[in-house]
Parts: sequence; C-alpha cells; structure tokens
Amino acid sequence: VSTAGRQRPGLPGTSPLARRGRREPAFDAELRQAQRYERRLLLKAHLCLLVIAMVAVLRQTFLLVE
Amino acid sequence: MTMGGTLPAVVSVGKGLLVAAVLLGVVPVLAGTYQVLLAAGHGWRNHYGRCAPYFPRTAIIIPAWNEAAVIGGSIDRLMRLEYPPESVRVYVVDDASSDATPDIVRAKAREHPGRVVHLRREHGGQGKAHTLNHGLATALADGWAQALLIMDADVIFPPPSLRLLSRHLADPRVGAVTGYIREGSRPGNYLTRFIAFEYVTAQAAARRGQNVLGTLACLAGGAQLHSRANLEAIGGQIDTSSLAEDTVTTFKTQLAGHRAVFDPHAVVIAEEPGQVAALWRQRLRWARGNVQVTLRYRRLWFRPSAPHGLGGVSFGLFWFSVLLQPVFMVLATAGLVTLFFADPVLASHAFRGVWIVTALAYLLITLLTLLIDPTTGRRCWRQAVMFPGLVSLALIFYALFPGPASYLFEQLLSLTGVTLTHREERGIVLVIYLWLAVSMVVAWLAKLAEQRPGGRWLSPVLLHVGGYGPLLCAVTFAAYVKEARRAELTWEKTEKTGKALSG
Repeated sequence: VSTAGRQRPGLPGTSPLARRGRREPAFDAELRQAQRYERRLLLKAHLCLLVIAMVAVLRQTFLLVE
Repeated sequence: MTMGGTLPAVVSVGKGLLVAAVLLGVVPVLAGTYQVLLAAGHGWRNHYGRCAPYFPRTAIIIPAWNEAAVIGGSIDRLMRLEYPPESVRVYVVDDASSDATPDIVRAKAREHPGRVVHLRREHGGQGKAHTLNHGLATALADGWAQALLIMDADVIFPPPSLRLLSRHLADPRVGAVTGYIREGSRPGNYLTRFIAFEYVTAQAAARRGQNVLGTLACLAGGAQLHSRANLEAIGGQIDTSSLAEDTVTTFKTQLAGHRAVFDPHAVVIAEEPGQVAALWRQRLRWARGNVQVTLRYRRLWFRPSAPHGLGGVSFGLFWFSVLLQPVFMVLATAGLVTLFFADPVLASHAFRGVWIVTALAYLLITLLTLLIDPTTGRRCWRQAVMFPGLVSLALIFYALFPGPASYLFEQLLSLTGVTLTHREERGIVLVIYLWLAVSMVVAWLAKLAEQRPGGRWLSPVLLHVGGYGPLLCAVTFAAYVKEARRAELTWEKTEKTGKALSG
C-alpha cells in the first residue's frame, strides 16, 4: 500500500500513527460505524419478514372469517 | 394412443404452458426479493475488512459540455474534499462548450494553479466516452496519477466521499470502487422523488446484494474511482462503441481479474430529470446500452465456472430479470388472456397466484428499501408506495384481501349507481388480466401527454395510474425496438441546472 499523500492532519488515516503504518482510532471508528450500519440491515430484513408474515396471517384470517 | 386420449393430453400440456407463461410474470419480483435479501447480508460479506487509510494521488476527470450552471460549484467542492490537497488534480475536459464553461474553468485553473487543468476539445459532440478518453489520455500520460476518479460535472462530492472510496483501493485486488449516487434535486418534483426511490432500490439495495455476490453490474458513471493499474489493464480508455460505457468498463475491470466494489457510505449527490420526456431519453440510452452489453458478452452469461463471477447464476438472474422484464410481462399477459378464454377458472387461480406473490414481494422490497436509506425514505415514501401504479396497487390489495376489496368495489358501484351485466363483468376481468402489459402503454402515454396541451397535469396522473416501474419497462421495450432497427447511437445529454443540494 502506498503512503502517498498522508500528510494532512485531521483526516482519518493521516495522523502520525497512520504515517508509521499503524491503524488509527478515527479511521477504525468510521469503519466500525459502517459495519454496524450494515449489520443492522439484517435485523431490518427480519422485521420486514415479520411484517410480511403478519400480513399473510391477516389475509388467512379474513378468508376464514368469510 | 387414440385420438380420444391424445387430445386431452395436448390440452393439458397447452394449459400447463400457459400457466408457466403466466408465472414468468413473477420472475422479476422474485429476483428483486432475492437481491434485496442478499443486500441484508452485506453486514457479513463486505469489503470493509480489507480497507485501510489510503490517499493515492488522484486525477479527477470531468467531461463537460455546456456545464456553466454547475461546473464552478463542482470544482469548488472538489477543492474542499477531505483529502490531501496536493494529491488531487482536476482535469475538466471541455467538449467544445459554447457557453461560459471554458471561462469558468480557466478562472478556476488560475485560482488553483496546478490543481485544476482545463482541457479543450475544439471539435466535440462525439459523446461522453470520447470526451473522457481525452482526459484519461492526458492524465495517464505522466506518472503522477495513482488513481483516477471519473465523475459527471453536476455530481456533488461531499467532503468525505473521495477518501471513503479510496480506502478500498488499499486492497490491491480492487480495481475500481463506486459510490452511492443519491438524487438531490431541491425542491424537486414527483418524478425526481420517484427516481430517488428507484436509486435506493437499484443502487443502495441492489449493489449491496451484488457486493455480497462479489460481482458488480455497473460502476456508476458519475462516481467511479479506478486504480491506475486497473485502467491500464483495460486499455487506458473507455469503450466508445456502446451507450453503456460505464457498464462495459465494469465488466472489463472484472474480466481483467480485478474486483469492483460498491461503497454505500460514499454518498454523492446528483440532479436527475424532472420531466418524463427527459427521463425517457436518459433511460433509453441506458437500456439500449444494456442490450448492447448483453449481446457483446453473450458467451459469458450463466457460466458459473468462470473466475470473475459475471457468469454466476444469481448475477445472470438479476441481469436478465431487469433486461427481460417487458418480455415477462407481455408473456404473462398473453398466457393469462388465452387462459381466460380456454379455462376461466384456471386463469383466475393463476392470476391470483401471480398477484399474491407480487403483493408480498412488493411489501418486502418497499419496506426494506425504505429502511436501507431512511433519509431518502422519509422524503419519498409516497413514491415508494405508488411505484407500481394505482391500478397495480388496487390489484395488490385485492390479492391480499379479496373480501374487503370486493366489498369496497361493490360499495363503489352502488354509490355510483352502476349495475354490471355478466358481459361487462367479464370485460372488466379481461382488462385486469391485460393490465401487466397495458400498464406499460399507460406509462408511455404519460411521456406522450407531457408535450401536449394539458400535459402538465395529465402526464403525472397517467404516470401515477400506470406506475413508475412500468414506465421503466416501457423504456426497455423501446430500447429493444431501437436496437432491432439499428437506430443511430446518439448521445443526448441530460440537462442539468444546478438545482441539486448536498443536504
């Protein structure tokens, strides 16, 4: 991995720590946040499937009542 | 076998084929459901684990033809990127603009010496790919650039966007990265909000699913970052023979053995058409490009053993479910109408089956897509609901709750004092069976009506009745026709006014 351009302070990935080839907290925190968001999608998918199941149950209930 | 035994067998086979044709109508929604569920697995299978801080020297190539309304602001924003300033160089390829574009770019070049370069093509009009190639040739001519960002003149790059893309290039296996283009017209109108929701489904959701598969269908033309090695490996040029040059670049990248990655958190903002006719022109170009790509790579599809993943079964299913959607809709309609005359009871069962599956898939895709990008979801939830069109929504409601739907329909008839004869009832059923195909015609009429007197109100009404989804299918159908006629490949630029906001 090239280290070109890692001079600007204040950006994730440009601290003295990063320049020494070490991972820095700000960069890792940003990645962790993205990963958390992505993992939450699976929970959201389960919620949606639950809604679909409820709609299916509601439909069958209506049919039975009729 | 006697004639008496053969005939019923032939009839049964015929009906079976008709039912199969009707069931083709659910292939696109099932593929869409599969894709959106794959997207939900992006938390476990993504590229973030291989990201590292990486700020390659980046040449940003902006093709520009009469972009005076937006180019100055775009350059200013690029100068403010959260990226080492000495590692960004902007090349604006002015394609013989006749407005103030050259003056604006020259002024910016004076303001940012060495960081903004004005490249002028005196004889332009050949299209975006030719314009890009002029910039790529210049940027690759010296050894400065380690990466190249291809973008559109109007696309707004928020400060973190470039570094969020470049972190993926720290993995040498990755050849190109693309971001999530979010529709940003403000105040916008109903059409831009339809597009905003479509972009969540087609990018934020679908491309996450493609990341999970490890194969990307398209690097967004307005935001694609390539490593220098990748661009050199694919010939250092963008394909000029297709209207889908960005898709060809994506395929070439993966065929060259490099990965193409989508980062949904690298969000950029774009202004999209606010008129149906302009949207039609843009999408016709894209759809024709996709037909060309399909034919060009015809030996590639459904060959799972190929190492690049483009021949994967899932990837092929996603690709063809979009490309062949009008075919599926027409075949399903034809099957249903034939069954209606041959076996009305079977037709009724087949119809109900298709619409129950469609209804559940619609609910899942819409809900999950809105949750994938809640920011856009809050702005566009009405368009998300209306995406299939008013009539299809009514059919979805009927499929889910036939009793209440029939009751409401009877109430409506009694309120209006209409009494239907058996013949009229059959007529209504036939129209409903025809709807999958007719919806495309209604959506196409929305485009025609727009340019006629009264079109300002009639066109949105027709589009809401026919549906935005069917409009996209109608465009794809028009693309088949244009390709079959070998119509001239023209690059019609989408008008940009600078009304997109980064908020």
